[in-house]
Amino acid sequence: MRRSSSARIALASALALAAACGGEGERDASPAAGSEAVAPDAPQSASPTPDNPAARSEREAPAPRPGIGGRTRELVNPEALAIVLLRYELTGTEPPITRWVEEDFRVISARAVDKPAQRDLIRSELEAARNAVRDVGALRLTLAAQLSEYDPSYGEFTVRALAPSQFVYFDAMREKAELRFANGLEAQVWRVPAEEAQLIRDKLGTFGGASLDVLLRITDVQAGGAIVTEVVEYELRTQHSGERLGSVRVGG
Amino acid sequence: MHKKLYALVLIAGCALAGCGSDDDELGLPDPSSGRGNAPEEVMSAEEVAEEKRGDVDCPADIDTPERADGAPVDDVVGVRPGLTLDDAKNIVLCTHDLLVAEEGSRQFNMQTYGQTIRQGFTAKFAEREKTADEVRKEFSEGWMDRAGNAVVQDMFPGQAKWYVASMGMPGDERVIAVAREEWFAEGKNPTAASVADALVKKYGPPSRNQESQNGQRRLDWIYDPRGRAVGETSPLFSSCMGISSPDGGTSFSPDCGLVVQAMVMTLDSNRQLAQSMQVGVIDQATGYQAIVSTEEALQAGENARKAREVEEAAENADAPQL
Repeated sequence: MRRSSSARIALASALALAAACGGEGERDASPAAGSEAVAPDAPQSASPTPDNPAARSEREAPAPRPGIGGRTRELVNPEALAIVLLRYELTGTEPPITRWVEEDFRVISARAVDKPAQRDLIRSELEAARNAVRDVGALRLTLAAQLSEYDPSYGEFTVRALAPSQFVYFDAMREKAELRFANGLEAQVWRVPAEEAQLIRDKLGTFGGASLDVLLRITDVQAGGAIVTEVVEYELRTQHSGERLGSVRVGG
Repeated sequence: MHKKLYALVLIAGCALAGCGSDDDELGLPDPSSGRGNAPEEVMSAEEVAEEKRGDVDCPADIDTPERADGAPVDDVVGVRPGLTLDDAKNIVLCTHDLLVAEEGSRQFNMQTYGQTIRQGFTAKFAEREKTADEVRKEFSEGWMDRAGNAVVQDMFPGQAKWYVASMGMPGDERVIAVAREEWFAEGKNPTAASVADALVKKYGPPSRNQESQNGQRRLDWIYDPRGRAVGETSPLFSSCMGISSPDGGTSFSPDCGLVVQAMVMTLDSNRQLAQSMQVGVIDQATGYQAIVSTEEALQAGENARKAREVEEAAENADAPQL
Protein backbone atom coordinates (compact mmCIF):
# COMPACT_ATOMS: atom_id res chain seq x y z
CA MET A 1 0.00 0.00 0.00
CA ARG A 2 1.32 3.42 -0.89
CA ARG A 3 0.05 6.64 0.57
CA SER A 4 1.07 10.22 0.33
CA SER A 5 0.72 12.24 3.45
CA SER A 6 1.53 15.60 4.87
CA ALA A 7 3.37 16.31 8.06
CA ARG A 8 2.45 19.03 10.47
CA ILE A 9 3.45 19.39 14.06
CA ALA A 10 0.79 20.89 16.18
CA LEU A 11 0.96 22.27 19.67
CA ALA A 12 -2.26 22.00 21.53
CA SER A 13 -3.58 22.24 25.02
CA ALA A 14 -3.48 19.35 27.42
CA LEU A 15 -7.12 18.74 26.82
CA ALA A 16 -6.48 17.76 23.26
CA LEU A 17 -4.89 14.46 24.04
CA ALA A 18 -5.92 12.57 20.98
CA ALA A 19 -3.90 12.84 17.82
CA ALA A 20 -5.96 14.37 15.08
CA CYS A 21 -5.78 12.91 11.64
CA GLY A 22 -7.58 14.33 8.70
CA GLY A 23 -7.32 15.62 5.20
CA GLU A 24 -8.31 12.39 3.60
CA GLY A 25 -7.90 12.52 -0.12
CA GLU A 26 -7.28 10.34 -3.03
CA ARG A 27 -4.13 8.69 -4.29
CA ASP A 28 -3.13 6.24 -6.91
CA ALA A 29 -5.48 7.61 -9.50
CA SER A 30 -3.05 6.83 -12.26
CA PRO A 31 -4.40 7.63 -15.68
CA ALA A 32 -0.92 8.00 -17.04
CA ALA A 33 1.17 4.90 -17.23
CA GLY A 34 3.93 5.16 -14.72
CA SER A 35 6.37 3.56 -17.07
CA GLU A 36 5.96 6.25 -19.67
CA ALA A 37 9.02 8.41 -19.85
CA VAL A 38 8.59 11.89 -18.46
CA ALA A 39 9.45 14.37 -21.13
CA PRO A 40 11.74 16.93 -19.56
CA ASP A 41 11.03 20.49 -20.51
CA ALA A 42 12.77 23.73 -19.94
CA PRO A 43 13.07 24.65 -16.30
CA GLN A 44 9.71 25.54 -14.77
CA SER A 45 8.01 25.74 -18.16
CA ALA A 46 4.40 25.17 -19.07
CA SER A 47 3.21 22.91 -21.87
CA PRO A 48 5.60 23.27 -24.78
CA THR A 49 4.78 23.31 -28.43
CA PRO A 50 6.98 21.43 -30.88
CA ASP A 51 8.78 24.55 -31.98
CA ASN A 52 9.39 26.19 -28.68
CA PRO A 53 12.57 26.03 -26.59
CA ALA A 54 10.93 23.81 -24.06
CA ALA A 55 10.47 21.11 -26.65
CA ARG A 56 14.08 21.42 -27.75
CA SER A 57 15.21 21.02 -24.19
CA GLU A 58 13.53 17.63 -24.17
CA ARG A 59 16.37 16.37 -26.33
CA GLU A 60 19.02 18.39 -24.58
CA ALA A 61 18.05 17.64 -20.99
CA PRO A 62 20.96 16.09 -19.15
CA ALA A 63 20.53 12.63 -17.74
CA PRO A 64 19.78 12.69 -14.03
CA ARG A 65 22.75 12.25 -11.79
CA PRO A 66 23.13 8.88 -10.09
CA GLY A 67 21.49 8.46 -6.73
CA ILE A 68 23.16 7.92 -3.39
CA GLY A 69 26.31 5.84 -3.63
CA GLY A 70 26.41 6.08 -7.44
CA ARG A 71 23.25 4.01 -7.82
CA THR A 72 21.90 4.19 -11.35
CA ARG A 73 18.96 1.82 -11.67
CA GLU A 74 15.40 3.07 -11.66
CA LEU A 75 12.13 1.63 -10.35
CA VAL A 76 8.79 2.60 -11.86
CA ASN A 77 5.78 2.74 -9.53
CA PRO A 78 7.32 0.13 -7.23
CA GLU A 79 5.28 -1.97 -4.90
CA ALA A 80 5.43 -1.25 -1.21
CA LEU A 81 7.60 -4.31 -0.56
CA ALA A 82 10.21 -2.99 -2.97
CA ILE A 83 10.47 0.29 -1.06
CA VAL A 84 10.70 -1.49 2.29
CA LEU A 85 13.47 -3.67 0.88
CA LEU A 86 15.12 -0.63 -0.66
CA ARG A 87 15.22 1.02 2.74
CA TYR A 88 17.07 -2.01 4.13
CA GLU A 89 19.40 -1.90 1.15
CA LEU A 90 20.14 1.79 1.63
CA THR A 91 20.74 1.49 5.35
CA GLY A 92 22.95 -1.54 4.86
CA THR A 93 20.88 -3.70 7.17
CA GLU A 94 19.50 -7.17 6.64
CA PRO A 95 15.77 -7.54 6.08
CA PRO A 96 14.18 -10.11 8.42
CA ILE A 97 13.37 -12.48 5.59
CA THR A 98 13.16 -15.55 7.81
CA ARG A 99 10.55 -13.88 10.00
CA TRP A 100 8.64 -12.62 6.96
CA VAL A 101 8.58 -16.15 5.54
CA GLU A 102 7.14 -17.53 8.77
CA GLU A 103 4.55 -14.73 8.92
CA ASP A 104 3.39 -15.30 5.37
CA PHE A 105 -0.17 -16.57 5.26
CA ARG A 106 0.76 -19.25 2.75
CA VAL A 107 3.12 -20.78 5.27
CA ILE A 108 0.76 -20.33 8.20
CA SER A 109 -2.15 -21.92 6.38
CA ALA A 110 -0.21 -24.70 4.66
CA ARG A 111 -0.42 -28.28 5.89
CA ALA A 112 2.66 -29.30 7.84
CA VAL A 113 3.86 -31.52 5.09
CA ASP A 114 3.66 -28.64 2.60
CA LYS A 115 5.27 -25.98 4.76
CA PRO A 116 8.90 -26.56 3.70
CA ALA A 117 8.00 -26.14 0.04
CA GLN A 118 6.00 -23.00 0.81
CA ARG A 119 8.91 -21.62 2.79
CA ASP A 120 11.27 -22.20 -0.11
CA LEU A 121 8.85 -20.58 -2.53
CA ILE A 122 8.28 -17.47 -0.43
CA ARG A 123 11.94 -17.11 0.41
CA SER A 124 12.82 -17.24 -3.26
CA GLU A 125 10.18 -14.57 -3.99
CA LEU A 126 11.56 -12.32 -1.29
CA GLU A 127 15.14 -12.86 -2.40
CA ALA A 128 14.13 -12.00 -5.97
CA ALA A 129 12.42 -8.85 -4.75
CA ARG A 130 15.50 -8.00 -2.75
CA ASN A 131 17.76 -8.46 -5.76
CA ALA A 132 15.45 -6.26 -7.80
CA VAL A 133 16.17 -3.22 -5.63
CA ARG A 134 19.95 -3.50 -5.73
CA ASP A 135 21.68 -0.47 -7.24
CA VAL A 136 18.38 1.44 -7.42
CA GLY A 137 19.02 5.18 -7.23
CA ALA A 138 15.91 6.64 -8.84
CA LEU A 139 12.17 6.18 -8.67
CA ARG A 140 9.33 7.14 -10.97
CA LEU A 141 5.97 7.51 -9.25
CA THR A 142 2.49 8.47 -10.32
CA LEU A 143 0.64 10.47 -7.70
CA ALA A 144 -2.33 12.77 -7.38
CA ALA A 145 -0.79 16.21 -7.91
CA GLN A 146 -3.03 18.13 -5.50
CA LEU A 147 -2.70 21.11 -7.78
CA SER A 148 -3.62 24.42 -6.19
CA GLU A 149 -5.61 27.22 -7.73
CA TYR A 150 -3.52 29.55 -9.84
CA ASP A 151 -1.90 32.33 -7.83
CA PRO A 152 -1.68 35.38 -10.07
CA SER A 153 0.41 37.26 -7.48
CA TYR A 154 3.41 35.10 -8.27
CA GLY A 155 2.25 33.51 -11.54
CA GLU A 156 2.31 29.94 -10.32
CA PHE A 157 0.42 26.84 -9.41
CA THR A 158 1.51 24.85 -6.39
CA VAL A 159 1.92 21.11 -6.81
CA ARG A 160 1.06 20.31 -3.23
CA ALA A 161 1.91 16.62 -3.61
CA LEU A 162 5.54 17.77 -3.70
CA ALA A 163 5.32 20.31 -0.87
CA PRO A 164 7.89 20.05 1.92
CA SER A 165 5.24 18.67 4.25
CA GLN A 166 4.42 15.81 1.93
CA PHE A 167 5.78 12.33 2.00
CA VAL A 168 4.80 9.11 0.34
CA TYR A 169 4.70 6.12 2.52
CA PHE A 170 4.59 2.44 1.85
CA ASP A 171 3.35 -0.33 4.05
CA ALA A 172 4.44 -3.94 3.57
CA MET A 173 5.33 -6.85 5.82
CA ARG A 174 4.00 -4.85 8.77
CA GLU A 175 6.73 -2.29 8.18
CA LYS A 176 6.55 1.23 6.91
CA ALA A 177 8.92 3.11 4.67
CA GLU A 178 8.52 6.67 3.54
CA LEU A 179 9.83 8.91 0.82
CA ARG A 180 10.48 12.57 1.44
CA PHE A 181 11.25 15.37 -0.97
CA ALA A 182 14.39 17.26 0.01
CA ASN A 183 13.78 19.98 -2.58
CA GLY A 184 10.00 20.10 -2.21
CA LEU A 185 10.03 23.83 -1.54
CA GLU A 186 11.40 24.49 -5.00
CA ALA A 187 9.81 21.53 -6.77
CA GLN A 188 6.23 22.35 -5.75
CA VAL A 189 6.26 25.60 -7.71
CA TRP A 190 4.96 25.38 -11.25
CA ARG A 191 5.42 28.76 -12.84
CA VAL A 192 2.99 29.49 -15.63
CA PRO A 193 2.34 32.75 -17.47
CA ALA A 194 -1.12 34.13 -16.80
CA GLU A 195 -2.29 33.62 -20.37
CA GLU A 196 -1.41 29.92 -20.24
CA ALA A 197 -2.87 29.48 -16.78
CA GLN A 198 -6.38 30.01 -18.04
CA LEU A 199 -5.88 27.31 -20.65
CA ILE A 200 -4.73 24.89 -17.97
CA ARG A 201 -7.69 25.75 -15.77
CA ASP A 202 -10.00 25.11 -18.71
CA LYS A 203 -8.45 21.71 -19.27
CA LEU A 204 -8.86 20.81 -15.62
CA GLY A 205 -12.48 21.94 -15.48
CA THR A 206 -14.28 22.94 -12.33
CA PHE A 207 -13.68 19.83 -10.30
CA GLY A 208 -10.90 18.18 -12.24
CA GLY A 209 -7.74 17.08 -10.57
CA ALA A 210 -4.28 16.54 -11.98
CA SER A 211 -2.03 13.54 -11.79
CA LEU A 212 1.70 13.69 -11.50
CA ASP A 213 4.41 11.51 -13.02
CA VAL A 214 7.53 12.37 -11.09
CA LEU A 215 11.15 11.27 -11.31
CA LEU A 216 12.91 11.15 -7.95
CA ARG A 217 16.61 10.75 -7.29
CA ILE A 218 17.49 9.09 -3.99
CA THR A 219 19.93 11.27 -2.08
CA ASP A 220 19.93 10.02 1.49
CA VAL A 221 18.37 7.77 4.05
CA GLN A 222 17.66 9.11 7.51
CA ALA A 223 18.33 7.53 10.87
CA GLY A 224 14.62 6.93 11.29
CA GLY A 225 14.48 5.11 7.95
CA ALA A 226 12.95 7.79 5.74
CA ILE A 227 14.30 7.72 2.19
CA VAL A 228 15.18 11.23 1.12
CA THR A 229 14.75 12.05 -2.55
CA GLU A 230 15.28 14.97 -4.84
CA VAL A 231 12.58 15.79 -7.36
CA VAL A 232 14.30 15.82 -10.74
CA GLU A 233 11.36 16.40 -13.08
CA TYR A 234 7.67 15.81 -13.41
CA GLU A 235 4.79 15.91 -15.80
CA LEU A 236 1.21 16.84 -15.02
CA ARG A 237 -1.89 15.43 -16.67
CA THR A 238 -5.60 15.79 -16.14
CA GLN A 239 -6.97 12.94 -14.10
CA HIS A 240 -10.18 12.58 -16.08
CA SER A 241 -8.68 12.35 -19.57
CA GLY A 242 -4.94 12.04 -19.13
CA GLU A 243 -4.43 15.16 -21.21
CA ARG A 244 -1.01 16.65 -20.72
CA LEU A 245 -0.92 19.93 -18.80
CA GLY A 246 2.78 20.63 -18.64
CA SER A 247 6.06 19.48 -17.25
CA VAL A 248 8.80 20.84 -15.08
CA ARG A 249 12.49 20.12 -14.77
CA VAL A 250 13.41 21.20 -11.27
CA GLY A 251 16.43 23.41 -10.82
CA GLY A 252 17.14 23.63 -14.52
CA MET B 1 -5.20 8.12 0.31
CA HIS B 2 -3.93 11.28 1.91
CA LYS B 3 -3.64 11.70 5.55
CA LYS B 4 -2.39 14.53 7.69
CA LEU B 5 -0.35 13.72 10.70
CA TYR B 6 -0.65 15.78 13.79
CA ALA B 7 1.80 15.40 16.60
CA LEU B 8 0.22 16.97 19.59
CA VAL B 9 2.02 18.88 22.25
CA LEU B 10 0.88 18.87 25.76
CA ILE B 11 0.76 21.71 28.13
CA ALA B 12 2.00 19.65 30.97
CA GLY B 13 1.20 22.15 33.62
CA CYS B 14 -2.46 22.11 32.74
CA ALA B 15 -2.78 18.36 32.62
CA LEU B 16 -4.58 17.96 35.85
CA ALA B 17 -5.49 20.31 38.62
CA GLY B 18 -5.38 19.08 42.19
CA CYS B 19 -8.15 16.62 42.87
CA GLY B 20 -8.18 16.35 46.63
CA SER B 21 -8.91 18.86 49.28
CA ASP B 22 -6.29 18.04 51.86
CA ASP B 23 -4.16 20.90 52.96
CA ASP B 24 -1.09 19.03 51.81
CA GLU B 25 -2.44 18.90 48.31
CA LEU B 26 -3.23 22.58 48.42
CA GLY B 27 0.26 23.35 49.61
CA LEU B 28 -1.00 24.97 52.75
CA PRO B 29 1.18 25.62 55.79
CA ASP B 30 1.38 22.79 58.30
CA PRO B 31 -0.59 23.83 61.42
CA SER B 32 2.01 22.06 63.56
CA SER B 33 4.80 24.14 62.13
CA GLY B 34 4.72 26.55 65.05
CA ARG B 35 2.97 29.41 63.38
CA GLY B 36 -0.16 28.78 65.41
CA ASN B 37 -2.80 31.43 64.98
CA ALA B 38 -0.34 34.24 64.50
CA PRO B 39 -0.98 36.40 61.46
CA GLU B 40 0.69 34.86 58.45
CA GLU B 41 3.54 36.75 56.89
CA VAL B 42 3.30 36.61 53.15
CA MET B 43 5.71 37.92 50.55
CA SER B 44 4.69 40.85 48.42
CA ALA B 45 4.59 40.55 44.63
CA GLU B 46 7.85 42.49 44.47
CA GLU B 47 9.51 40.10 46.90
CA VAL B 48 8.22 37.08 45.03
CA ALA B 49 9.49 38.52 41.74
CA GLU B 50 12.90 39.32 43.21
CA GLU B 51 13.25 35.81 44.55
CA LYS B 52 12.16 34.07 41.37
CA ARG B 53 13.90 36.27 38.81
CA GLY B 54 17.40 35.96 40.23
CA ASP B 55 20.03 38.16 38.60
CA VAL B 56 18.75 39.74 35.44
CA ASP B 57 20.98 42.09 33.47
CA CYS B 58 19.02 44.85 31.79
CA PRO B 59 19.02 45.93 29.09
CA ALA B 60 19.55 42.47 27.67
CA ASP B 61 22.89 41.85 26.01
CA ILE B 62 21.95 39.84 22.93
CA ASP B 63 24.42 37.51 21.24
CA THR B 64 22.12 36.45 18.40
CA PRO B 65 22.82 38.26 15.11
CA GLU B 66 20.42 40.95 13.96
CA ARG B 67 17.60 40.21 11.60
CA ALA B 68 18.72 40.27 7.97
CA ASP B 69 18.12 43.44 5.99
CA GLY B 70 14.88 43.33 4.07
CA ALA B 71 13.53 40.39 6.03
CA PRO B 72 9.97 40.68 7.38
CA VAL B 73 9.60 42.22 10.83
CA ASP B 74 9.43 39.20 13.11
CA ASP B 75 9.76 40.33 16.70
CA VAL B 76 7.44 40.88 19.63
CA VAL B 77 9.01 43.55 21.82
CA GLY B 78 12.42 42.34 20.63
CA VAL B 79 11.81 38.61 21.01
CA ARG B 80 11.92 36.80 17.69
CA PRO B 81 12.46 33.36 16.21
CA GLY B 82 16.11 32.42 16.01
CA LEU B 83 17.12 33.98 19.33
CA THR B 84 18.74 31.72 21.85
CA LEU B 85 16.39 30.75 24.63
CA ASP B 86 18.50 32.57 27.20
CA ASP B 87 18.56 35.77 25.13
CA ALA B 88 14.79 35.60 24.77
CA LYS B 89 14.29 35.10 28.48
CA ASN B 90 16.58 37.99 29.25
CA ILE B 91 14.63 40.30 26.94
CA VAL B 92 11.28 39.23 28.37
CA LEU B 93 12.35 39.70 31.98
CA CYS B 94 13.72 43.13 31.16
CA THR B 95 10.31 44.31 29.92
CA HIS B 96 8.95 44.49 33.48
CA ASP B 97 10.37 44.05 36.97
CA LEU B 98 7.44 41.92 38.09
CA LEU B 99 7.67 39.38 35.29
CA VAL B 100 8.81 35.91 36.30
CA ALA B 101 9.57 33.09 33.91
CA GLU B 102 8.85 29.40 34.28
CA GLU B 103 10.33 26.67 32.12
CA GLY B 104 8.78 23.29 31.54
CA SER B 105 5.15 24.25 31.90
CA ARG B 106 4.53 23.50 28.21
CA GLN B 107 6.13 20.62 26.39
CA PHE B 108 6.07 19.27 22.89
CA ASN B 109 4.82 15.74 22.64
CA MET B 110 8.05 14.29 21.38
CA GLN B 111 10.28 11.35 22.17
CA THR B 112 13.28 12.68 24.09
CA TYR B 113 14.76 9.31 25.14
CA GLY B 114 15.11 10.53 28.68
CA GLN B 115 17.02 13.68 27.82
CA THR B 116 15.91 17.06 29.06
CA ILE B 117 15.15 19.46 26.26
CA ARG B 118 14.36 23.05 27.20
CA GLN B 119 11.29 23.75 25.15
CA GLY B 120 10.60 27.34 26.07
CA PHE B 121 9.04 29.22 28.94
CA THR B 122 6.04 31.18 30.04
CA ALA B 123 6.28 34.47 31.87
CA LYS B 124 3.69 36.35 33.85
CA PHE B 125 3.44 38.91 36.61
CA ALA B 126 4.42 37.73 40.05
CA GLU B 127 1.64 37.69 42.59
CA ARG B 128 1.96 38.22 46.29
CA GLU B 129 1.86 35.07 48.34
CA LYS B 130 -1.54 34.03 49.50
CA THR B 131 -2.59 33.21 53.03
CA ALA B 132 -3.94 29.77 53.79
CA ASP B 133 -7.48 31.16 53.90
CA GLU B 134 -7.02 32.77 50.53
CA VAL B 135 -5.69 29.57 49.02
CA ARG B 136 -8.67 27.63 50.36
CA LYS B 137 -11.11 30.22 49.06
CA GLU B 138 -9.39 30.36 45.67
CA PHE B 139 -9.39 26.60 45.39
CA SER B 140 -13.06 26.41 46.20
CA GLU B 141 -13.99 29.18 43.80
CA GLY B 142 -11.79 27.69 41.13
CA TRP B 143 -13.52 24.36 41.50
CA MET B 144 -16.90 26.07 41.14
CA ASP B 145 -15.68 28.01 38.13
CA ARG B 146 -14.48 24.88 36.41
CA ALA B 147 -17.67 23.03 37.25
CA GLY B 148 -19.69 25.88 35.79
CA ASN B 149 -17.44 26.24 32.77
CA ALA B 150 -16.90 29.87 33.68
CA VAL B 151 -14.55 32.12 31.76
CA VAL B 152 -11.82 33.17 34.15
CA GLN B 153 -9.33 35.86 33.25
CA ASP B 154 -5.89 35.34 34.69
CA MET B 155 -4.72 38.86 33.98
CA PHE B 156 -5.49 42.31 35.27
CA PRO B 157 -5.26 45.68 33.55
CA GLY B 158 -1.66 46.81 33.28
CA GLN B 159 -0.26 43.27 33.13
CA ALA B 160 1.36 41.23 30.39
CA LYS B 161 2.17 37.58 29.91
CA TRP B 162 4.33 35.66 27.47
CA TYR B 163 4.86 32.29 25.92
CA VAL B 164 8.14 31.55 24.17
CA ALA B 165 8.63 28.18 22.45
CA SER B 166 12.10 26.91 21.67
CA MET B 167 13.67 23.81 20.22
CA GLY B 168 17.13 22.41 19.77
CA MET B 169 19.64 20.11 21.36
CA PRO B 170 20.74 20.98 24.92
CA GLY B 171 22.73 24.19 24.85
CA ASP B 172 21.49 25.20 21.42
CA GLU B 173 17.82 25.90 21.99
CA ARG B 174 16.42 28.54 19.65
CA VAL B 175 13.14 30.40 19.73
CA ILE B 176 10.62 29.10 17.20
CA ALA B 177 7.51 30.96 18.37
CA VAL B 178 6.60 33.78 20.71
CA ALA B 179 3.29 35.22 21.90
CA ARG B 180 2.53 38.08 24.22
CA GLU B 181 -0.69 39.39 25.71
CA GLU B 182 -1.02 42.83 27.23
CA TRP B 183 -3.92 44.31 29.14
CA PHE B 184 -4.01 48.06 28.98
CA ALA B 185 -4.15 49.90 32.29
CA GLU B 186 -7.56 51.14 33.35
CA GLY B 187 -8.21 54.66 32.19
CA LYS B 188 -5.36 54.46 29.71
CA ASN B 189 -7.02 52.29 27.10
CA PRO B 190 -6.02 53.32 23.58
CA THR B 191 -8.52 53.17 20.74
CA ALA B 192 -8.66 49.84 18.95
CA ALA B 193 -8.02 51.68 15.70
CA SER B 194 -4.82 53.24 17.03
CA VAL B 195 -3.56 49.84 18.19
CA ALA B 196 -4.27 48.36 14.77
CA ASP B 197 -2.54 51.30 13.13
CA ALA B 198 0.52 50.82 15.34
CA LEU B 199 0.63 47.14 14.38
CA VAL B 200 0.45 47.96 10.68
CA LYS B 201 3.15 50.58 11.13
CA LYS B 202 5.44 47.99 12.69
CA TYR B 203 4.67 44.87 10.66
CA GLY B 204 3.59 46.40 7.35
CA PRO B 205 0.46 45.82 5.28
CA PRO B 206 -1.26 42.70 6.64
CA SER B 207 -2.28 39.67 4.62
CA ARG B 208 -5.56 39.63 6.52
CA ASN B 209 -7.30 42.40 8.45
CA GLN B 210 -10.65 41.49 9.93
CA GLU B 211 -12.93 43.32 12.31
CA SER B 212 -15.73 41.45 14.02
CA GLN B 213 -19.09 42.83 15.08
CA ASN B 214 -17.92 43.40 18.63
CA GLY B 215 -15.04 45.49 17.41
CA GLN B 216 -12.42 42.80 17.93
CA ARG B 217 -9.73 42.96 15.30
CA ARG B 218 -7.53 40.25 13.89
CA LEU B 219 -4.54 40.94 11.70
CA ASP B 220 -2.23 38.39 10.06
CA TRP B 221 1.02 38.80 8.23
CA ILE B 222 1.73 35.54 6.40
CA TYR B 223 4.91 34.64 4.54
CA ASP B 224 5.94 31.51 2.68
CA PRO B 225 9.22 29.77 3.55
CA ARG B 226 10.98 31.92 0.94
CA GLY B 227 9.93 35.07 2.76
CA ARG B 228 7.36 36.07 0.15
CA ALA B 229 4.20 37.73 1.42
CA VAL B 230 1.17 35.47 1.06
CA GLY B 231 -2.03 36.95 -0.32
CA GLU B 232 -5.51 35.50 -0.42
CA THR B 233 -4.90 33.87 -3.82
CA SER B 234 -2.17 31.69 -2.37
CA PRO B 235 -2.98 28.16 -1.19
CA LEU B 236 -1.10 29.03 1.99
CA PHE B 237 -3.46 31.87 2.90
CA SER B 238 -5.96 29.64 4.63
CA SER B 239 -3.57 26.94 5.81
CA CYS B 240 -0.79 28.86 7.57
CA MET B 241 -2.05 29.71 11.01
CA GLY B 242 -0.33 31.97 13.49
CA ILE B 243 -0.34 32.20 17.25
CA SER B 244 -1.37 35.29 19.14
CA SER B 245 -2.49 34.06 22.55
CA PRO B 246 0.20 32.88 24.97
CA ASP B 247 -2.25 30.15 25.93
CA GLY B 248 -2.97 29.11 22.37
CA GLY B 249 -1.91 26.05 20.45
CA THR B 250 0.76 26.24 17.82
CA SER B 251 1.06 24.36 14.56
CA PHE B 252 4.26 23.96 12.59
CA SER B 253 4.24 23.05 8.90
CA PRO B 254 7.24 23.03 6.58
CA ASP B 255 5.00 24.56 3.90
CA CYS B 256 4.57 27.81 5.83
CA GLY B 257 7.07 30.48 6.73
CA LEU B 258 6.79 33.33 9.17
CA VAL B 259 3.31 34.14 10.45
CA VAL B 260 2.62 37.16 12.63
CA GLN B 261 -0.82 37.31 14.19
CA ALA B 262 -2.37 40.03 16.30
CA MET B 263 -5.69 40.31 18.08
CA VAL B 264 -7.09 43.51 19.54
CA MET B 265 -9.87 42.99 22.08
CA THR B 266 -12.24 45.82 23.00
CA LEU B 267 -13.90 46.94 26.20
CA ASP B 268 -17.46 45.76 26.77
CA SER B 269 -18.32 49.28 27.85
CA ASN B 270 -16.88 50.93 24.74
CA ARG B 271 -16.15 48.88 21.63
CA GLN B 272 -13.90 51.57 20.25
CA LEU B 273 -11.41 51.27 23.09
CA ALA B 274 -8.92 48.44 23.32
CA GLN B 275 -8.99 46.31 26.45
CA SER B 276 -6.10 44.07 25.52
CA MET B 277 -3.82 43.04 22.69
CA GLN B 278 -2.19 39.76 21.73
CA VAL B 279 0.69 39.54 19.28
CA GLY B 280 2.52 36.39 18.28
CA VAL B 281 5.16 35.33 15.80
CA ILE B 282 5.85 31.82 14.62
CA ASP B 283 8.41 30.64 12.10
CA GLN B 284 6.73 27.46 10.97
CA ALA B 285 9.19 25.95 8.50
CA THR B 286 12.19 26.69 10.70
CA GLY B 287 10.37 25.48 13.78
CA TYR B 288 9.27 22.30 12.05
CA GLN B 289 12.80 21.59 10.92
CA ALA B 290 14.16 22.30 14.40
CA ILE B 291 11.73 19.83 15.94
CA VAL B 292 12.43 17.15 13.34
CA SER B 293 16.19 17.66 13.54
CA THR B 294 16.16 17.52 17.31
CA GLU B 295 14.14 14.33 17.29
CA GLU B 296 16.51 12.80 14.76
CA ALA B 297 19.57 13.80 16.77
CA LEU B 298 18.03 12.36 19.91
CA GLN B 299 17.16 9.16 18.10
CA ALA B 300 20.67 8.90 16.67
CA GLY B 301 22.06 9.30 20.18
CA GLU B 302 19.72 6.63 21.45
CA ASN B 303 20.71 4.26 18.65
CA ALA B 304 24.38 4.87 19.44
CA ARG B 305 23.75 4.17 23.12
CA LYS B 306 22.08 0.87 22.33
CA ALA B 307 24.84 -0.14 19.94
CA ARG B 308 27.45 0.72 22.52
CA GLU B 309 25.69 -1.35 25.17
CA VAL B 310 25.47 -4.32 22.81
CA GLU B 311 29.16 -3.95 22.04
CA GLU B 312 30.00 -3.81 25.73
CA ALA B 313 27.77 -6.79 26.39
CA ALA B 314 29.67 -8.82 23.82
CA GLU B 315 32.89 -8.10 25.67
CA ASN B 316 31.89 -8.11 29.31
CA ALA B 317 28.62 -9.94 29.77
CA ASP B 318 28.37 -13.25 31.54
CA ALA B 319 27.91 -16.34 29.40
CA PRO B 320 24.75 -18.30 30.14
CA GLN B 321 25.19 -21.47 32.16
CA LEU B 322 23.75 -24.33 30.11
